[in-house]
Amino acid sequence: MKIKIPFILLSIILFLNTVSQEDPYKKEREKMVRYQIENRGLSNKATLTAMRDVPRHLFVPKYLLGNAYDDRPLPIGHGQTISQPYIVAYMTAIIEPEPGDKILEIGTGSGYQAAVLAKITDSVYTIEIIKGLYETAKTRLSEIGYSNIQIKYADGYYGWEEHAPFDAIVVTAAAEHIPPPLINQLRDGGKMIIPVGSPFKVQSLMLVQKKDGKTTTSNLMHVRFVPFTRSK
Amino acid sequence: MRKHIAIGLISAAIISYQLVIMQILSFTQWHHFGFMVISVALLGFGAAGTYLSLKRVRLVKNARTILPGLIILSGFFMLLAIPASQVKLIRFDSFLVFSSHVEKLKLLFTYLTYFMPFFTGALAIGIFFVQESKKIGKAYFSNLIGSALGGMVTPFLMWIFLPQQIPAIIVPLAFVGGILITPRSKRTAFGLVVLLGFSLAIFFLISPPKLMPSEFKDLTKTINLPDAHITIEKNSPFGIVHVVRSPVLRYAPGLSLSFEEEVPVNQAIFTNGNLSGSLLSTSMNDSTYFLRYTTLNLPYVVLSPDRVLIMEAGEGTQLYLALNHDIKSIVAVDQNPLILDIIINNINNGHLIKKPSEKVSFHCLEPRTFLMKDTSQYDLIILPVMGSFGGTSGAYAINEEYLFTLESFREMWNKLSPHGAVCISTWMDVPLRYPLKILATLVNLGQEKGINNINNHIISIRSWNTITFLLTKKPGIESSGILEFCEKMYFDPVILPDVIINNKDPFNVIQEFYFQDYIEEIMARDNSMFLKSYDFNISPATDQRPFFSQFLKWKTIPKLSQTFGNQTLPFFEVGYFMVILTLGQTLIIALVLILFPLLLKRLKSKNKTWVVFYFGGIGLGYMFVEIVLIQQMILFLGNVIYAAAAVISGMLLFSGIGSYMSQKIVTTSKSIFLILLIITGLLIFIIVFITPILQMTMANSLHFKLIVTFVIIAPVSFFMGMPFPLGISYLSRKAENVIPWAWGINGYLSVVSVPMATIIAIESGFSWVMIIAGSVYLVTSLVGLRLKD
Repeated sequence: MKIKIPFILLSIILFLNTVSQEDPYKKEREKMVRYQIENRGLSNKATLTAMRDVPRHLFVPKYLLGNAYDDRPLPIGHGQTISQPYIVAYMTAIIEPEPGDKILEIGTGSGYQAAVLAKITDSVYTIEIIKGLYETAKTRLSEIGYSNIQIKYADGYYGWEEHAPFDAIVVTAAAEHIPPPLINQLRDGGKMIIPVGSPFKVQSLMLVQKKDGKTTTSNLMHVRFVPFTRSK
Repeated sequence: MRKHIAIGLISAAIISYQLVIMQILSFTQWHHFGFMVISVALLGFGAAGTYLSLKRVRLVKNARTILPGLIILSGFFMLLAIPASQVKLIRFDSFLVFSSHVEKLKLLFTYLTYFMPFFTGALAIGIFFVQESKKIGKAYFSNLIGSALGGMVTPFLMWIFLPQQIPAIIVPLAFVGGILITPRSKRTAFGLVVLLGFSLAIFFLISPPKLMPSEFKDLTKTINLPDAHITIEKNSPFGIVHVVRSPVLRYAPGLSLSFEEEVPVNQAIFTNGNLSGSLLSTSMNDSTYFLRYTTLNLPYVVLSPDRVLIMEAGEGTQLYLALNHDIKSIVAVDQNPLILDIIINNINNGHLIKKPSEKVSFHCLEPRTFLMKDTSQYDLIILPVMGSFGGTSGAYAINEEYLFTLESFREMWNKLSPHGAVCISTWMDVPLRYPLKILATLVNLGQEKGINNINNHIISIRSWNTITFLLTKKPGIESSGILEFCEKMYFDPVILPDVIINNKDPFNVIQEFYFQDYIEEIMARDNSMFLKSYDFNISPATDQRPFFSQFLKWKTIPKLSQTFGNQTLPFFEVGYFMVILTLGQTLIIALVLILFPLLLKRLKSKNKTWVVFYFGGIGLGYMFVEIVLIQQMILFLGNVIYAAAAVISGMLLFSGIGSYMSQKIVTTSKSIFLILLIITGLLIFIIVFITPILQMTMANSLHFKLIVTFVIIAPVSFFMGMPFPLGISYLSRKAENVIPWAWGINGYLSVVSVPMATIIAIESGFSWVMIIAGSVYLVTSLVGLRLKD
């Protein structure tokens, strides 16, 4: 019996150690998916799985770690935000990505949206115009190990001609016009999703569809992006 | 005499400082946040009264040293407040205040930073008033004249200097004032301090502190773009203007999805950090060709205008489009000379047209004033695109937009040639507000003009993010060209003369499924029920309530809150929300600080109720009158800055003279009653006659109109300068200890009255603000009758 006690204690310590090495944010992520996304009626399985898998806390500034899974957008510097989890999920689900799809993202920002897309599809191309954001996102995505995301520092206006056409285009920053090259680079039958409006405003998402050479739009939902706190 | 000069100088510096920080906050934050911060900071006047009530004996006893000390200290605070407010530790971001406690704390520090100059300066004035309570008329005169000078000089300084440089020019006046009254024994010490102050002022003049606009403002975001640099930075009383160039900057509002060419790179113009327009920079007409691929092009599809009038042309887009269509004669109106200059230079330098002077005539005037003065007729009158992309968040809810009132549209209609039209565009907002209010205004105008079938006079098309309306004088414009245009551009027709819109397969599906039904409801012969029942205020704006962008209805707040969530609600109408918040904050602070001396010091006086009503009433009434007169003079003088400067300075000047003359009046309850009654009578006169007088003299020169302005405001201001010194003079005989408290109450109510007047104007119209002002003076006069001589 005397021999067994240290053994049991050792086992408990080892077990606790293993538990602590597990992703401590897994539970929060699960809660996020259940309460913020599923409860709002979103049921696209691939999207939900991706949202469960991608460690959102690695995409927010360190001082906001505690708020990473809050139901709101967070500032990431340069006047930009990482979108509210539900919006990321909604934008992902609406373009219905599938394995093998080629997706272009305009406005990498933190890299979170690209990471979610990369969980579902094989190749994600993302462009960022702000150098500071580009460098951080590039390092981050490579450190986490997303090998199917290609990122470049460029003006998103021109899209990514060499890899066009794309099955879907996700524009993460609102724009008062849609650059013609992006429409050209969208495959016939492809979808483009764009948030309309800027922080602090009641917003909507715009779905642009190209079919038989004609481009149509649909206004999808009311959205609001409110930065939570200042970026450092 | 020296003391009077010193008080005049510190008063001038305080007013100037107030105007400067309002401009700085408009640039670095939302201007409504500026409104709130400055209101709270202005409570420094009331707080000084409270503090003086508590420490009166000690402060007055040592006034010889304390008075110059406070004036100099206030100058130092003025110099340091602006750089201090830009330090990262203190600098708040209004975009984050609603969701971050840290930002709330920073906001509190900002309040304090801006509060100190007001508090110390006001304390000096208060001590002076107590000292001079027997000759308060003269003392108050120096305070008012100084303030008037500060108010007049600062807008001129804004043309030459950046706002953060102006304190460096004004504050030395306060230092001189302080030294003027410094006792001999302290001159060396105070002199050295002032020398340091002068050095600091020179330093800030040469090397002004850098202003840090919020990272979420348009300007900051644009500067983050690759190779972005500011090519022009100029200040004026209209705001700080920046022009930014970047090789990736493109602006094509509402561009058709069928446009396949390259959108040209352009420069962007910002006013107070907010995007206000773009400059198309190449010399080829091709650079503006893309504008034909927007809904703004609708009037040129329908009409072939020869004479086009463009209102608020500084926004740029409409002017470039008209030039692209090679219109024979273009009249461009904008009241901001700085922006107009930039546009003119751009057109000339870019050689967009060979001889711009032959084609375009520019008028630097408030557009409504231009409409009232001009006698020409136009084939097309174009208004600027309303709101902003993605919605304005109600940031303009409390802005007076006279160009979009029913009266304004009436004047435009009268200026149209027989085949002319008025064109107005807006962004498709969510939930729908702007398009519906514009339509309601056009329909209302049509009904007023006796048009039986309004459908025959209104044309409207929409893209994925903009909607354009055209109100034509001639009925039944042919629709086939419009349909063709829509088909080519992927636009959807909304209203076409005598064509039932088939909405089954639109290019641009919107979430508001009932949009077309709403349109029909508004187009109906009697739309009043619909306007009443819609969740937002979409009834046409009028000159009395010129708040076109104010949509929130109190009764639907619970419903909106349920639909969009509580956190979203402030952003529906942030401008109005700020005013309400300001009123709440200032009321609470004022109430606590008014009661403070009563509880702590147990002020002994039989006239406490009278003091509250009397000094509160004249503070409230004065500001109400000032606000309404500024509002009346904006259209009359054709420029918001001239109107504010003329009314504020004119009122202070004539009130100062009135205050000076009040020394000759024996203070009795009867004399006070009589003067307040005269003020009430003069206010009634103004309420009844101001509109006809202004209309009669509208067509005259600016100089003449300035004289008219002074003639209108002089008599009432003269008498309005009397009640305060008479009241203080009365207290100096009956209850001297209450004087600081009375002065404080006057200060508090002056501040509280500003948001209060705005709310009354939004809810009921400006004439009600004036009626209430008259009533306040009447009630105050009756309260005065209770006094025992």
